Amino acid sequence: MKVPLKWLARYVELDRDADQLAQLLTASGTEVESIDRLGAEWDNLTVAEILHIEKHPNADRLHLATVNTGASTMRVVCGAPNIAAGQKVPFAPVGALIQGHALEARPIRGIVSEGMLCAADELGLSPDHSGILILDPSETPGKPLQAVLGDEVLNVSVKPGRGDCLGMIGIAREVSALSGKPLRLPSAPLAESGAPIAEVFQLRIDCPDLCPRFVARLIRDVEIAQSPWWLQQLLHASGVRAINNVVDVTNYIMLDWGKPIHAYDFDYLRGAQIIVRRATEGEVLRTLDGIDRTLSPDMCVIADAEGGIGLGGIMGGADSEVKDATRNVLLESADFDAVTMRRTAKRLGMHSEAVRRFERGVDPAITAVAADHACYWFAELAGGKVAPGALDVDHEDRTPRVIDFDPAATGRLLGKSYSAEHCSRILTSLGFETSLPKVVVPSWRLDVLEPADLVEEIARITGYDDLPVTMPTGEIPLNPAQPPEWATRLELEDRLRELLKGAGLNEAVTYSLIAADTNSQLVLDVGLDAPGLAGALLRQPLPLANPMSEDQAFLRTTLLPSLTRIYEINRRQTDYGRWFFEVGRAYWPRGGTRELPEEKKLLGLILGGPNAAKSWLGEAPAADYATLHGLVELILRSAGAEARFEPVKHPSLHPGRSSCANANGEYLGYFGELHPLLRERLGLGPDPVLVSELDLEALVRQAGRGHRYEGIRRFPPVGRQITVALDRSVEAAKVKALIEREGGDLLTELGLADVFELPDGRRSLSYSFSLQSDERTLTDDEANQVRDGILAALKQELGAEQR
Amino acid sequence: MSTPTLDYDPQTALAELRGLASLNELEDWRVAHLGRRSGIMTALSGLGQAPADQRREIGQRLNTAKQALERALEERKDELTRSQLGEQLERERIDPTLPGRVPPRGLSHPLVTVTQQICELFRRIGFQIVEGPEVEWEHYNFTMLRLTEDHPARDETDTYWVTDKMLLRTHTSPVQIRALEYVKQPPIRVLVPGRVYRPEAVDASHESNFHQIEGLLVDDRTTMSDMMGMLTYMARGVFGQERKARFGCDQGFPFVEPGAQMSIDCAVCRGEGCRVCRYSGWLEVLGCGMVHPGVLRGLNIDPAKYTGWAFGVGVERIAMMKYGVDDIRLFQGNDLRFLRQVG
Repeated sequence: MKVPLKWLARYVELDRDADQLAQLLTASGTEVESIDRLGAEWDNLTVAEILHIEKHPNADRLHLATVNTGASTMRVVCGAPNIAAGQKVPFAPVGALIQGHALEARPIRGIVSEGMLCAADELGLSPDHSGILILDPSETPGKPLQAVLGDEVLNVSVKPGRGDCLGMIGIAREVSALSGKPLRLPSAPLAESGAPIAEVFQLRIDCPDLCPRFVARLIRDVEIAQSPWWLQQLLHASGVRAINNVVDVTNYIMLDWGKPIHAYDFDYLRGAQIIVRRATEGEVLRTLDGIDRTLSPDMCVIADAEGGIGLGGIMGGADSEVKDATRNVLLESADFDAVTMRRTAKRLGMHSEAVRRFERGVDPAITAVAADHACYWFAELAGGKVAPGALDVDHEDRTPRVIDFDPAATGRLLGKSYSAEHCSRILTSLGFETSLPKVVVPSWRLDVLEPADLVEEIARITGYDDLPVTMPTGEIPLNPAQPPEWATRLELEDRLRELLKGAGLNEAVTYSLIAADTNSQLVLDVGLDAPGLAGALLRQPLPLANPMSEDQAFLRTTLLPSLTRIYEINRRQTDYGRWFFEVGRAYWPRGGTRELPEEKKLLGLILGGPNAAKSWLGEAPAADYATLHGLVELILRSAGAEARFEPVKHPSLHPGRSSCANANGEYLGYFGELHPLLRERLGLGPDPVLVSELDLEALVRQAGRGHRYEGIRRFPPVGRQITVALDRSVEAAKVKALIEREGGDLLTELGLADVFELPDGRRSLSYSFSLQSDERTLTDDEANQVRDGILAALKQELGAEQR
Repeated sequence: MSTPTLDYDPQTALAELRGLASLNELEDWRVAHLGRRSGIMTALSGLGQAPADQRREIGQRLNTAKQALERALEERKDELTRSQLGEQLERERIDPTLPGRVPPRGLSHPLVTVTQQICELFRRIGFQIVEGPEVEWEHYNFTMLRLTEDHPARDETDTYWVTDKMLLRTHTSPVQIRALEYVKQPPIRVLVPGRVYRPEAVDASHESNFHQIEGLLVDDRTTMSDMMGMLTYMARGVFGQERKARFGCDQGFPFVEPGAQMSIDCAVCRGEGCRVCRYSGWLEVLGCGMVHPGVLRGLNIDPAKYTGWAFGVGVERIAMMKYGVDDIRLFQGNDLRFLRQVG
């Protein structure tokens, strides 16, 4: 809503400048987004008086005007037909900026003009170029034009509940309450003449649920013409185009009172009647903008005896509009149901100024008042004769809302109690009728329903600055506000973040929406039956009904595409540090759309290449499978989960370099090297790329009892080493598990010391371990016995041969 | 057999010692002058043959001489060691300003840093960090928050819908409802970080997929003054203790009454007015307000007995202000050239 201060000042005295006013309004909830300053660029334009006019000696259509600019007398060349001696006009001297160009002293048909007289369009005030702008005769030559024609316009963002602020009077009421300056409402003394409207016209409402009230007035003998300059200027400053005096008056009333009204060409209306009804299915109406609209029965149509003449509350019809030839005008001031307006406008894509007001709700008490004011101006500006009386079909319940209000509510909600006197004064200044505890809500405040709303009124007009600033003193809640395991997970997330950053990984936060083919781009083997997270790429993602773009049309089922994407982006920018982790969500649909999807809380890792720049100290090692495996072990250990690892099938991983982690039969996640074909397809470069996804909720479930102290064994450990040759297909994890089983309680440390390939194709594994009892010092024999037991089991169960 | 001399003058030996330049020579000298067959030791061992009345005096003199030799040897040895070590240390000299071996440390993400910082400030005051679903029912995202059937926020232009009931949450506020349902009755103090979605055209200052933190406190005594205090505490914690907070009315949120917004004085110009704060000296930070009684009634919580306040803050907005970031897309772009400056 554009609020020109000159317009506002008609209704309330402005006792501060535009910036201060904007601040005051904004702090009280009427948000001023910006201020336009009309005429700010009129640096040295002034008022000038035309002293006399003579014909240009070399051009028939040009004149030479001698003007008094206050400081001197100058001669200007002028082509406009409407100038006369004695007029006060806008004058631009040579050098002034006009429409962005500096005015030059150039001879026009042999005579140099010392300046220029300006039309409205040249000043950027309106598109009007029909003649020089004639100023009020009382203006003095030499006065800066800015002071005469300039204005400041507040751009106000009006909240959905405050339709009353979509009119100058509503804003003026706010200013009045805030500044204490009285509100001056306009008056509209009507002189009526001719036959009463009731004798010549009929009105009927068939759908009072869509249109509870309709007031019609008749104005005869209007003369369609341009509106006077002051009105054009106000409309222009408000962002509304001036059309003719009748249409301009309807817009003026809308901007003034926030009440949209409409003028019909009376003589067009067939059957001398208006019927307000629901549209029939498929009914077509051509609206003012020349577009044929197809309607449905939930829409409200204004019709005459033969058909639709307007889409109620939204736009008039093309045929019945006021034209240059219009002599008699039928004025509509009606109320329409806000929800119907909103739905109709949305369906037809018509977001007019009228809809903007009706869908927020318009003061139901001003229907007739607005009509009277319009009639007054039709008479003033278009010479119209107002027919006596109005047709007024009224189904509206305008019983005022009464709220029981205890001023103590201010203290309870605000932290500062305001007196009954203070509350009454503020509420009264906003138009409430108060005799506490009763407060009658004014008809235009559709948003005020209960005491809390009144507290806001009192607080916002007093100013929130008036409230003390304190800290909460109430009870700290004992009970959790979510399932306790969620809190545990959130703590784990923060712990893992620190752990991973300490290990050299950067934290990433990525978009969770993907394209339809995002997953399939990462799948190399569609037929793969991969378990749990490893199969997430093969899940059908949840689609959005109204995506903004194809790139963000589905919810991701895995972090993997997001991770490969950031890897790819950074590969082109930097040759180190492409080690990332993300704590994020993936979304697995379940139960069709009857249930919310399962939101998987995941930890994703991606790493490739070195994680530090090459320096004089050497080159940091590039990430490989062991780096990733070690990180996963670190994460699981830090989470307190005892996991086992085994190879896994994953549709995007290297088939020989991928594993999963399980604990107590629960799948925790997968990790492995991205398949080289995929690395190439995604353009990820020559380094192996390692990825992992771990299920954080499963991790919390498997965290067990956490770490427990079991005592330091007092007797010395005995070290032993074994080296065995095994078939390559035997996984080290199995060997380790077997050693742990055989070593039993005595085994305190176990490490894989060496691995190498044997010439016969087998693999040699060397383990060193410690045996320790908490009862006595172990003898060599005892230690050897355990070692031999391990070797025997390895031989028997895994075909291992001691080397 | 000659009588061993009981006379011993250390001066010759001492003079010799001063000429020695290596530890090996010192050892030879020690054997020669302090060894078993050296003059002083011979003299000392012959002490028994001295006349009894002189024995004590001679003994003292010889011992003094021996100590002088020993002391001189130690001193000389020390001198030599020092000078040899000095040469070694000189050889070991490096450029101590060469860059160090920094243990690799991953970068923090600014959105996470800001979230953690705010969470920590509220944890101190007894708030629990809670979460809720991002794919949500319209019931929680709108209806329970008094965003009625025809509220414009429900438009397809403002909300990503999955079905006519299911949507991507447009704010973290539905978790207010879920948390209140979970505890059934106040008191409650929760802070809800999370991802939210709106179908915005993405540009330098708009994301369609961004982050918020919601706060909610309901108990039997809290007021708007408490809300202002707590949010001022947060603003100072995030932006510095010297920041000033200002509250104005905001009528845009149907689930709070009275509604408010908080601004802080611009840290760039310290309130003087600059490009960053659009010459107002103040930056709008968040929306907040007293929980609307209708919201409480909807959860069977008696608004005559309990009051509450809530706020929602955009994490990206805070991070942009805190780090001077001028393009919101940088956050989820994860470009290392960006992260290395802010992480």
